[in-house]
Amino acid sequence: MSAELWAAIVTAAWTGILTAISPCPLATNIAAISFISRRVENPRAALLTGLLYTLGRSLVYVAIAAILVGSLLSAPTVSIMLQKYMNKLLGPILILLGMFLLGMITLPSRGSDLGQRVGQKVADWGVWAGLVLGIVFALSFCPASAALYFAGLIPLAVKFESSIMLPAVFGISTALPVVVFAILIAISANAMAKAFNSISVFERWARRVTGVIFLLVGVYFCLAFIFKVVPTSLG
Amino acid sequence: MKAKTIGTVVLLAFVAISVGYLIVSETNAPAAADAPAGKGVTSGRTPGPGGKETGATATTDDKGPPVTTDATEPSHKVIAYYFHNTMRCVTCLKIEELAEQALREELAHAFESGELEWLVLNMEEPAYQHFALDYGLVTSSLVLVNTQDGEQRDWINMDKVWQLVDDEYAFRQYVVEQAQAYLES
Repeated sequence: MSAELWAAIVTAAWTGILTAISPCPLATNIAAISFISRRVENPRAALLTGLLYTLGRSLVYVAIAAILVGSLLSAPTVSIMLQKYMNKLLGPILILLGMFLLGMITLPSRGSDLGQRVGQKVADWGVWAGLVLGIVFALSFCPASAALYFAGLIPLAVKFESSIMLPAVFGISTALPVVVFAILIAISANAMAKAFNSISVFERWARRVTGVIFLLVGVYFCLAFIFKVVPTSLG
Repeated sequence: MKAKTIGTVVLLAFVAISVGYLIVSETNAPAAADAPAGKGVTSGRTPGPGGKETGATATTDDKGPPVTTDATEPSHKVIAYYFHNTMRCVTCLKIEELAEQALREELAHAFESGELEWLVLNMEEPAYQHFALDYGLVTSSLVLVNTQDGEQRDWINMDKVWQLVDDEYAFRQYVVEQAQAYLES
């Protein structure tokens, strides 16, 4: 690889980290951290959830880059559409996910054994939920992440004809600070729970806290982006 | 148990109302073409710069986006547009504040003579949606437009503001130098 391409990779990585640490996606980052780190009883599951969260984010950035490079869709159209509609949809989605985590709603599992097993899997919030969360959160562009991705990363990807590698590096970098922080919390909580010999209690509370955070962030998104009764500049 | 049931019902009702309100408000939103023009723009004309989005200065022979004109205005005028989304993030507000402050402090004479104008527009409002395509805007952006006799001569998307926002000195220099260059052109 040329020195120029290496420089582009470093730029893509740094742009991704800047996206992750900018104040604008703060609310969704808090939700992601609490979701990944809730597996107090099993840090390995937290790591796997974090990896799938990273994969979900990367898939979105790669897919959008591929669509923009390979079609007539313009970056402004895609960017404005995602910023306008995804943040509006995110509120109700997060509230439903929060209710799910708190056991307020469950999937119907009556019927076949398969249906029961699937229902139980989803109810247990398998690690695959991390992938879905990564996809949904990556699609919810805020102004700063849109500027860094559409005006920073995409021109770079076009210049180097790299619609997969550079967006993937960007995606991994956007998830890295969140995942590292979440896993540190999970490991610390696990150690503390073992010390107090009460892993199941810690796990139950971690799940409740995550559910409540999802509810609060969801209600905030609804009030800010759908009803427009609270400022959208809190993040 | 009862509290949990009440909480579930309240939250589900909130979600249903939110989704219903969202659908109704999006359905009733006026289309861009039907929307009235707002301050600083005239209706009916939505021409863009025409050329490809370059990320740098673009010059065009095409008629640019509509600009305010009246008999008392100078023939040569620079308009500093700050376009934003409905979502106003902390960094977006800071960029807006720093840019306006820099221009008003460093180029006060141009504001007084009417050669420089500052306009803030929400590009999600139907009347202003065309600006996003005209200037290739992907998010909140500062755009300087150089006009002569009410027609756009050239424009620049000041996209480096996002990289310079934490370096106030460099930010001011970047914004003021480009505006100054247009004023002297």
